[in-house]
Parts: sequence; C-alpha cells; structure tokens
Amino acid sequence: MALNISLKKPTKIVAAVLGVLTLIVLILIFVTTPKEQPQPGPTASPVAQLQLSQIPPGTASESDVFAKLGQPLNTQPSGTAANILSYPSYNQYNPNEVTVADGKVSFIRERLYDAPDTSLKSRLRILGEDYAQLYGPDSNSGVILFTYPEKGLAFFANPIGDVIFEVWYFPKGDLEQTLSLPEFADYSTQEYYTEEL
Amino acid sequence: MKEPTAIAFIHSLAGLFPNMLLNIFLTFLISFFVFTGTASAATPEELYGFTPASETVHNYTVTDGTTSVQLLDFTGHEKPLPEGYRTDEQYQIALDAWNLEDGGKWARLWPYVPMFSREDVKGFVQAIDEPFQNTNPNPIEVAIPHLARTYEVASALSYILSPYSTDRSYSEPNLSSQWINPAPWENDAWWLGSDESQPGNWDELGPVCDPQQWQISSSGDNAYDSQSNTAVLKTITIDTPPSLREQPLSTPEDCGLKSRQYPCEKCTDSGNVDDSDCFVDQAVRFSPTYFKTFTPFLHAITDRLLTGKNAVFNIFKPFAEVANEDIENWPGVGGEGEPSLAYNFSGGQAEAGNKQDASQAKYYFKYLGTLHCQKERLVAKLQPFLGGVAEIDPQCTGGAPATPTGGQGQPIAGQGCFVFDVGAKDPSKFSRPSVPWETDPAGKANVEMAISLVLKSPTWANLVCGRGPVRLYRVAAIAGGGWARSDQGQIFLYNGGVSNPGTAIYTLAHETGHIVSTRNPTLFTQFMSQGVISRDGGYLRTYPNDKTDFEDFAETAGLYVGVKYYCNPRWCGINYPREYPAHYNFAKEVMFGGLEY
Repeated sequence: MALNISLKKPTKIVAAVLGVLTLIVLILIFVTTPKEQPQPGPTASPVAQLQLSQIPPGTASESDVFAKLGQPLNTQPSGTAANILSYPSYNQYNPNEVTVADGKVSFIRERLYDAPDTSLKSRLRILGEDYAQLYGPDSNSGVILFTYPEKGLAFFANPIGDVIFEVWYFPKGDLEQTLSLPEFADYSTQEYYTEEL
Repeated sequence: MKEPTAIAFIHSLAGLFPNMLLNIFLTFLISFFVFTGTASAATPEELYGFTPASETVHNYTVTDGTTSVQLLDFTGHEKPLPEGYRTDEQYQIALDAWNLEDGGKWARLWPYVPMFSREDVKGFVQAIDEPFQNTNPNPIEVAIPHLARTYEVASALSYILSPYSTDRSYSEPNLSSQWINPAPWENDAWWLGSDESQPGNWDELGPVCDPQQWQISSSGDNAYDSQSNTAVLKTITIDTPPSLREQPLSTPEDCGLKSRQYPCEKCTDSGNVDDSDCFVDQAVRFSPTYFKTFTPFLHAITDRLLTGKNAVFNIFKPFAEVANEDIENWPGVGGEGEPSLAYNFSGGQAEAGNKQDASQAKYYFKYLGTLHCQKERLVAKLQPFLGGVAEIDPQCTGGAPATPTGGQGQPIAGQGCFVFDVGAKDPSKFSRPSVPWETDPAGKANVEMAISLVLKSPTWANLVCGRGPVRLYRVAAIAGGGWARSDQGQIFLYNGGVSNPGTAIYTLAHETGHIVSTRNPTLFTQFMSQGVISRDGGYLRTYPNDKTDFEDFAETAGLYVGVKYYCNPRWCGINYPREYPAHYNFAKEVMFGGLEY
C-alpha cells in the first residue's frame, strides 16, 4: 500500500518558510565559519633573537654559534667553503640564516616576518643618517638596503611602508669592503636595475 | 491638521528599491502615519528604531516634473490607510476616491514625497593650536548636504535587514582620539616642529614659531568650502647651519675692542665686530597642530553601514572581522614630497603641513571616503542583478579627481588609476626615453584591454590603486615585458610587453605585483608568513630572471591573470593550481578576492 501524504496549504507554507530559513542559516554558518589557517610551527624565542644579534660576523666562530643558538634546523652548503645554518625566526617558514665560512661567521640574515617591531624609521632615527642606500634586484618593488658599513648592519626594507623585512649582519668595514661581500654582489649605489621581466 | 513631520517620511524610493524592500518600507510609513495621525503615545524612535535626523522638516517642493505642490499642500490629501477603516470595502472606497481626487493629482504626486529628510546639516572645522598660537580663533561652519538623509536611510536599512532582537546601540569607531598632526617635518632642519613655540622668545635665537594669525579662508559657499589655507609664514634669523659655516680665520684680526674670528665678520668703526653676515634668513611655515572636523551623524552612519553589529554593508561578515577592519582608507593620500596633497590621513591620524606648498592644504572628513567607496562597490556588485553596467568611481580605485602631478596624463574613467604618460626615462642602465603612446596605437589598445582585465578584481584594483595613480610609459626597445619603478608609481613597457594582448595582460599583472608589494607591504608579509614559497617547494619557474621573494610575489599575480592568455614556450601548458597550489590559492583568495580568470 503506497504511503500517500498530502499537505494542507498552511503546512506547505510553513514547510517552505522553514526550508528558506534553513537555507539562510546554512549560508550564514558557511560564511561566518573561520577559514582554516596553517598551524604555527616552531619559532624563535625572544632570547634566541637577542643571541642572534650577539654573534659578531667576522670574529664569532661556528662553535660560538652552536653555543648561543644550539643545533640548527638544517645546514646547507653555500659555495665551496661555506655553510648556511638555519635557525628559527619569528615565522615558521622563513628561518634566520647564519653563514659560516672557514669556521667563522661571515654573514647573518635575520628575517622579521611576524616580528613585533619592524619599523625602519625608528631604527634609522636611533642609528643616525650615515647609512648608504643600496639598490638591488628588488628595488623595483621599492625595497632598498639601508646599509651601515661601519656598524656591519643593513636593513632590507620598504621605506614607503616603513617595514623592515630582513636585518643583515656582516663584518664591519667601509662601503667598498661591504660591497665586495658575496651577499652584496647584486647591490650598488646606482639606482638602476639591469634586468627586465 | 497634521504637522509637517507627518508628511515628511513618505517614500520616494520606488525607483531605487526592488518591490520587496519597498513593501517593507511601506510598513514603516504606515507605522509612522499611525503615530503622527492619531497622536499615538509612540515616539519616532520606537517606531523607527532610530532617532530621525530632524523633528522639523522643510516645506519641500514635490513635483513629478509637470505638476508641483508644496509638502504642506498635502495636508488633508494624504493617502488613506487601512487602519482608519472598519472593513476592506470601506477602505477600498476611500482609496478609490483619493485616487480620483483633483484629477488624480495627489495620487500622482504621492510617490515623489520624500521619505527621508533632505536637510543639510551643519558641521564645523576647527584648527587646534598649541598654547599661545592662534591660527584661527573661530571655527568655520560648513553646511553638509545629504548627511541627514544618509543617516535616516542607513538607519532604516540597518533596522530592516537585521534581526530586531539584536543590540542596536552603536559604538564609536576605534580611532585615536583626534586628527593629530605628528609634526612631519621634525627631521628637516629647515622646518620647525609644532611643539617649539616659545612665547616671549620669538625674537631670540633658536627655533621659534610665530604664526601671524592667518585665517582659514572660506570660499563663501559653505557647502563647497573644501579647502583651507593654513599657510603661516615668517622670516626669522637663525644661526648659520653647520653645512654653510665657514672655517675660522687662521689668525684672528683685531678690530679694536674685539677680534674678528671668521671671514664673514666685519670690523665696525667703533672697534666692534659685525657678525650679521654670518647668519642666514630662513622662511619657515607653521600649521595648526591639527584640525577637528565636526560632522553630525557621521559616526552613526558609519556604524549602521560599516562598523556596527548590524552594518548593512557587512551583513554577512562576523562582527569580529568587521571590528578589525581599517575604516580610514580614503584612497587619496599623499607623502611629504608631493606638491599638492597636504594632509595624509590614515590610521586615524592626519598629517598636516605641506612643505612644498602650504596654500594647498586640505582636510578630509573622516569616514566619508570609505563610506562612499563601500557604497560604490556594493552597487557595482548588485548592478548585474538590476541590469546595466556598473562603474565604480575612479577615486575608489585610486584615480584622483584632481590633476595628477608630474606629468601630462590623466586617469581615464574605467581604467582605474592608470595614466598613459610620457616623459620619464627608462630607469634601467640604458636610460632610454619614453615615447608617446600615440606612436603605438595597437600597443596602447593591448594595454587598455589588459587594464580592464587586471582591474576586474576590485580587491586587486584597490591594492594597485589605493595609493594614487600608476603611470604607464612606452619605451620603444626590443626587450621583453616591462619594468616597474614602484616607489614612483611607474611602469615601463617594452616592445615585448605590448606586442599582443596576451603578453600585455601577463606583463601588466606582473608589474602591478611590484606596485602592490611596495604600496601594501603587509600583504607581502602575509605572503611570506604563510610560507607560500616554501610550501610549494620554491619559486615559480615561470619567471626567467632574478629569483627573489619579491619577484615571486609579482609573478604569483602575473601568472594568475596571465596564464590563460599568454603562452610562453618555456612554460606553456603549466597547470598553475596543481603545480603551485599555495601560490595559486594565495593569488585567488588574497590578491584577487576570489575572482577567477
């Protein structure tokens, strides 16, 4: 025997209204549900960040690095006689890098993505205006290297947005010596760029 | 006899709203007439859910284009309401009679009675000085049209479109308290900070300010008075800057009573030393510390449309997300070096004092830019459902209404903030001159087509154009693609970048990526923080030159827009979403707001 269900008109209206309301609720749930975000990975503690700035390139040894920072996340060869040691930064995907050549620290790249304070202006105000602006491959994205050769310090930064992306530490010297470092090979004081898309 | 307010809130929005909304509005009208017509104890606030902008409404002219009456003429001729009649038949008879009354004049004009107030509201602008400065002692009053009506419409919409049980109290937007002038010239020795006023010491050495009490000028028409002259000039004598200072004489020269130490000093007849040539005159300017613009209803409008729990424009967003949005993003912002834009308003602060030309100083009404642009975007999204073609105000995609600086070109309607320009030199080491776009009409047509496609995404259009025009230069050189000089808002396009539509699309999308990362560094930081590059195992292989994070960011956009239209032999046939899912998803969801090409 077939089941025969017939709805009266008011019941149909109620059913239709309920259906529409259900649809609206489902849409709202879909729209307002937070999207899944990547889970944070290991990042550096403030202590580790502080210790990073206490490793002077040119004088610190590889053992100094291990003593201050511990074992690296990984080690990659760079050139013939150098290794790049990766350490946690503020962001899980962009580690800090310590370059060790012939047993000595030659270069440190500190990445500031997700760092609490990335203001370029505030640092320049403290350090003074005797920096050199160096232009490189990312000058067309408004990114300039604000370099203090005598301090062995440079900020890879967007001055328009007042944001530092990376801090570079390298042996102290004059501008000519700094420009001779391999990490500065693509940089010059000239504001032009030789390659195009 | 009904008061004028009884007639004021009658709809005239029949052409603006679909039938469903119109019916809801009519419900309000009926409620209001019950209130006003029967001396009910209910208040307008209880009926509407918000306080009307004004209790007093002007005796407007109501016209359908051929017949005109005044609002008060409707007294005794209002449309009958069902509540006034015992049966439907009685009401229908009354309605038919009203439709025929005076040849149908009242029924014909009824839809033209304004539903909401049309009053201008008065606000004022006040310059706030440091102690002992007196730039402008009296606030300038300005009459602001449309705000009262916008307030009532926004409130009514918010009331209709959100659940009745929710909290209707609005909250102040999260602003720092005032429009603070952060003394932008603090690092410039030739400009004085606003906090350096030293009453009583104005004629002594040291940095001083004497603002001379210049008035803020008024055009005389308050509704159009949008500019204020805040220039205050004074020539003062200060010590020679170190860079101009002379070396002292090797041997001091005896003048009689004193000795002459520097070449600029002269011996006087009395035996003293005249050192007046050792000082230089500097013209300094001074601006008030900040402006306050007092704009009635604006915070309430913002709340109802943008920032509140029942905000109409954000009705499908969680309030937590709405509360965190930056609402101060009027697109026309300027920097210190720009010659015409004096006030830079962002993050709740206004930067005052233009070094180049203080006579061009302007102030802005907070929230208005955002409100206007949100409305433009909402209409643009709704327009396809209502018919016709949506056009967004170019100001909302960065095109400035005023003459752009630094070139001859103008933003073109429909082309966002892009300006076809000539004059700048190719910034590569070759320093090639740009040529007029008219010399390459086919290339220009390709770029125009590319612009329409690249700016199809409102999200990307705002990222590209949110900080002013982008100037396009044609460099007639046999080279591939283009070159962006992002800090200057310039893109140079070579032969290879304009030779066909596909390459123009790919090139423009890529180069705008550089503009975006420069103008929106937080977006680039987001790109890096999410590990887009590392999650895909490295950079996009499609970019041929330097492999850097920033080039990869630009290429993420270039490939997203261009992969369908451009086929480079090196990577033709690439499956972007499958090969680089993190890049693709970032481009789609974050850069281009979900728009698929």
